Amino acid sequence: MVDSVFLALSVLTIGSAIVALEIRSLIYGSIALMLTLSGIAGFFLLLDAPFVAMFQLSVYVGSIAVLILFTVMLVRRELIFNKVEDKRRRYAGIALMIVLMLGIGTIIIGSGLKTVDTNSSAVDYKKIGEDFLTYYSPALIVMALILASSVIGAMTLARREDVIDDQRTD
Amino acid sequence: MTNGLIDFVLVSVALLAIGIYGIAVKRNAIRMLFGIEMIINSANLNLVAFSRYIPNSQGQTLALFSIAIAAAEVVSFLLQ
Repeated sequence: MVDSVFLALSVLTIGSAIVALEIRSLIYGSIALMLTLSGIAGFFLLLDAPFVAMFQLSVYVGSIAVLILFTVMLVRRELIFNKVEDKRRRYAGIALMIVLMLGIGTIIIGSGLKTVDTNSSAVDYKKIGEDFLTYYSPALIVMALILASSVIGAMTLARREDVIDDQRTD
Repeated sequence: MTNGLIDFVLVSVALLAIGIYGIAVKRNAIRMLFGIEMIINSANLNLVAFSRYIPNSQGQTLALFSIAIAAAEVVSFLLQ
């Protein structure tokens, strides 16, 4: 059985995910996406993973969702307007979604996952730091390189050739 | 724990299906990005849920990696 916190979190997460995709205004959609990401952070807290939950809040809600909001509001104004969708494509998408939910859901309910439960205590988050610095240290270095290259790539992509630079002295 | 593993996995499946619907139907690039974010988050939820019920810390470590890579992906998607 699930408790009431879990029920409230799942209604918040799935409901705001549907709202994020279906509401007309893209700005309200970004705010609904923010709620979805916060709901996932709540699930992480329920799963006794406070470090991942705080990481999710600071990276997803704090930076990604705010970045999307900034892009929608300031940079690309033309993205706010919705393109007309094909009705048949939309119904086919809804049918695909329901088939996926029922299909994978039936498989999972029929599998042995139903009986899985644990009484052991949660993993200490100090163990995550140990993992990062011992077994996963090459992956950590690769991730740092990916982040650095994404920053450099973003600066290259955002540069505009048609704007005259006032700051240039030569 | 009162919540079983299967409850978290079912929420994750629902989020995955909604994300696939968003990618398949929406014609707007930002809306498709919303769908991609939902799929990535359902994968993260699966990782953390299984790492709680094993119990093992590696699922949480991989979820942290996945969140960081998703941040880089969104930045390059939005600025292109």
